[in-house]
Amino acid sequence: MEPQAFFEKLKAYCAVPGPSGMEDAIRERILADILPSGASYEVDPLGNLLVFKRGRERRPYKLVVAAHMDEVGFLVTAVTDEGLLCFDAVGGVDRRVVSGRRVQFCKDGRTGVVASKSIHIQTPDEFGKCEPIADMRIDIGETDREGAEALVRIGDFAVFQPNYAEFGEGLVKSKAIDDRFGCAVLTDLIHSDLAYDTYFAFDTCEEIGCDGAKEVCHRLRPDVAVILESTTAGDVCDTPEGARACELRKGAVLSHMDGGTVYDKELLAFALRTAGEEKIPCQLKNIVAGGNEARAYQTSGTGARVLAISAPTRYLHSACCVAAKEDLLAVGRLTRAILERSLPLC
Amino acid sequence: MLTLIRQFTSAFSVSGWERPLAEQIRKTLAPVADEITTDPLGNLLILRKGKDSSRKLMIASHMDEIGFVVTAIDDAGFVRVSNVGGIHAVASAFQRVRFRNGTNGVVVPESGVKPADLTAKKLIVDVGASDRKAAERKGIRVGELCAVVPMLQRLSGTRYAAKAFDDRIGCVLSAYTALHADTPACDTYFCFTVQEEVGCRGALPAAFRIAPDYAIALDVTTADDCGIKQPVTRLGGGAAVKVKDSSVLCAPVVVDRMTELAKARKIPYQYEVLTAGGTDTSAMQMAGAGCAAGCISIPTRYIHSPVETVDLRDLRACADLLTACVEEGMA
Amino acid sequence: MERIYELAKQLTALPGVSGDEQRALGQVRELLGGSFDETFCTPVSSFWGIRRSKNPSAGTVLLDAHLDTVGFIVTAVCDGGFLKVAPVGRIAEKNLSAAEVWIYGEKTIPGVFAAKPPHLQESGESEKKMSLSDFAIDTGYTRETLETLVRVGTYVGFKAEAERLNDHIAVSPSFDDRLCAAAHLRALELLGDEDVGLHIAFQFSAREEQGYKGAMTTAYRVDPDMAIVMDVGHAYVPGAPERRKTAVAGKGCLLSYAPQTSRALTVWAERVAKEEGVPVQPVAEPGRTGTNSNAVQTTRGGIPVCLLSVPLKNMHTANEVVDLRDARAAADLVAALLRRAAKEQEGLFRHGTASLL
Repeated sequence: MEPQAFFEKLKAYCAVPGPSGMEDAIRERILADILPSGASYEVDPLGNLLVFKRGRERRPYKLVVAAHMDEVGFLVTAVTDEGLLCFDAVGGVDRRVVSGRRVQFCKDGRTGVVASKSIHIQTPDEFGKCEPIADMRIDIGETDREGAEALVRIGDFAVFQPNYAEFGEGLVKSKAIDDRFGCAVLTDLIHSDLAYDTYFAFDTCEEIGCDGAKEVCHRLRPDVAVILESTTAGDVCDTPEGARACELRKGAVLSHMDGGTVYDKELLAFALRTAGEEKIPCQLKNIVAGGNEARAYQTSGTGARVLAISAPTRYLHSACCVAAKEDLLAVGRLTRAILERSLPLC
Repeated sequence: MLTLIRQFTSAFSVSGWERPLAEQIRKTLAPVADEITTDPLGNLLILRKGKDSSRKLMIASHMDEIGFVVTAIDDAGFVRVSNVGGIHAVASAFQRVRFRNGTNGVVVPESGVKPADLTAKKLIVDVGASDRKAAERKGIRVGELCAVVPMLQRLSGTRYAAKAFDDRIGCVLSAYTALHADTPACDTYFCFTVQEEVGCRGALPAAFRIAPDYAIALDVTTADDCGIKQPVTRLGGGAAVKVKDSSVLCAPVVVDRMTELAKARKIPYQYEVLTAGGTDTSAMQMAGAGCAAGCISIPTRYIHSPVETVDLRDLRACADLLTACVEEGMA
Repeated sequence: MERIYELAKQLTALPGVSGDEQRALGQVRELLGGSFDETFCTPVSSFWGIRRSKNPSAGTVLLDAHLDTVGFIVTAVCDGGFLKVAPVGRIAEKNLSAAEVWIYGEKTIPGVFAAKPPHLQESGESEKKMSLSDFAIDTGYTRETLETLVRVGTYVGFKAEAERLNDHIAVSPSFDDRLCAAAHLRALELLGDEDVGLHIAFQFSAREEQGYKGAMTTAYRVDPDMAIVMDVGHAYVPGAPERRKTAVAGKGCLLSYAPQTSRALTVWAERVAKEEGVPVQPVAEPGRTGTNSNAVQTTRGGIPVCLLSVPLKNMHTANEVVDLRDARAAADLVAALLRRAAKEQEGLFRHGTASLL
């Protein structure tokens, strides 16, 4: 996994629009990337992409490595007489990261602006407060209903505008690092020489409730699932150390428990050991919060043992997720190291 | 039954590490089990074959208890924790706790927290360590688990108080029935599930694997009969036949059958409608193609405190009712 | 439109509060049995029936509407022949004073939610926030007699008749969701004896109002290749948020664009509606749709779902109001989709289990 190429791929993946419920474009891009690898694949009726790559040896259990293709986004709910668009968020988006942003419509790349009342015309009551998303409007430059309806329809999707860039010392910022970076790690693994047979799942609709994961799990019936995700790093100014969950530049995050899952203790210990032996930096989360597809993989069908390897990421579900390049690479290396080994399953 | 109660309530089994109790249960039931399975999550499934092997009855009681998980150790040696399951902050403050490896500690509110503001997030554990290294030498790590120390106390008459009757008492009743019931009417799976306290997570894959026709959960329910005009259930009022809690509407065929059997065998019973709470019943009802599910609830006072209180007469009634369901079948 | 009303009127008269659906199953079987080759009742008290194609290896489409209604459950039997209840499903307290109910005990008896008469109220009482625990149902019996008829756990439902307000507007309790069931059944009638090249299953699911469990488990058993879920939706009323203006009663059935349903099927359904001249109104739902659609879509390995809704006012009360023309539009659309699905959605049928196994 050559770093330069990895980050170029990450940039490309982050730029593709793919909100929960319309992941077609990102799936097409991922498929185009993995076709030359010789892996076999299948797209299920809900749009999940399932891939199988032969390794040098078979595994006596079924292992799936999963990442989700969808990002948070917006859905147009109505058009007003003045040609503005009512909309709502798809996935958990805090209202404060929406106000005053630009969005990109998925079907034609058109730009929209989330209107924000200038401070000069606000009343003193309005100072400092952010209105709910239901009261916000997207402006596409039209002045009446007819004009707007000629361009945009109820049900159209939009996402944050693509904005990938490197900055600071070894950091990257972009919309959709959650979880396009996971997809990028997966496609790299699919291209590499694997020690053991492995399944890879690119899931849809994680942001609205891990729907894709439930469906994939039913089809593949994994014994073990390793989930690659982004997890909240709270290491920002003024947050006390004890409340940060995890930090940038401290390595891949391994979790013992979060709001949706109590992770398999043996797999966690194995991952920590592997990281130690391979000298891959890693950290544990220090608060119990958040959740990822592991919750679906663990309790679907007859159950699976789950492990999550996450990239610490600031400002999740906003237009600017921020992550450290070294952490993203660490997640990739740790995942590969784990795949090279046979797991300690009794 | 008291022996089982003593054994099971003294085991360590916080959600995610139910193994110690699972081992005890496995040993206890091995003599009567036709098949023993442990699934990937740690659920323990014990089959007793019945007269009719074309139908299956699943009985579920959860092994896990609420507790704390270590999230960090600070420089001064204090252990920061998060709750595992619905910890009652006021009930837990100033209790003695024990870690998986036997290390002792006390759980206390952070300094300066007013009682009215006390929540699970404001509790810390003091293991008597002078600094972080000392705590680590005692085996404390991020991710480690601890729970209030086991306690079982006889109150007057037939009433007992203990930590974590929820749901060890259900496990006791299930194990007792597995040991003493006559040949079951149909193939009966006595299941000891994991991770119920964090969201009924174990029961779902277990039910999916078994695909039962009928399912009965055994769990505690609120006996708030101290001064309230219409308590959910009464201590001493008999086995509680659950009709509804906020996660499930029990199948009427199960409720009716339990009523029929209770009347026939003269078992004292009462009905339960709980507007809160959730149990494994819901998970068993909706796994796969679904099944007719219900629950026999054990009236319990002070749930999720270290002094959960039950009445032995209710326990006998629950055991008798469960035995009736197993021996005579649900159809 | 008349036929849909006739069917709906029969169905809304049936009992079946969420949790107590098995009480209605006998009559459901009687009323609907004739429309299907085979019918089943599930352990979770859903009803489903199947109309088979002559081609045994045809794909399967599932039509879903939920059988259960909101209601109440008895929590205590009190002195004076009163009952205390808890809600089953979400119900607004402001409509309950002096409301009439059916109590489904050993026999079905009528009851009335007790209301404090104005002369006994303190000033300002009518503005206070209400809680269901303050209400009691008057049965007219003595406590002793009542205890032989009713117990803790007995179910209670709204009591009112279906009626017409004019030639297209109707009001009834439980149009949610029996009106949609009627629309599905009408769609099947419109097909007559035609074999559309698909097996058609209809599920009248239980427990929708409490966790969608009937839809989830019945869809699991039926194992279809695609599903059309129909439920009621909120019709715009003055004072509702701006975005609700996209769902106007009388302007057609609603079609939901939602990440929780299949976009491909929804786009197709809209095209079919246009070609067939069926009035539809697209609406967008970014989060939970509050219907069986997600439960069906994420069952097994995933079943693509299209969600249709009939706009309705006063949901979850005894006076749900609909425009029957919208229900007719829904029935017409379902029939059209059934006729075209085998050919136009060929790729969906018998997707089979993953070849990667």
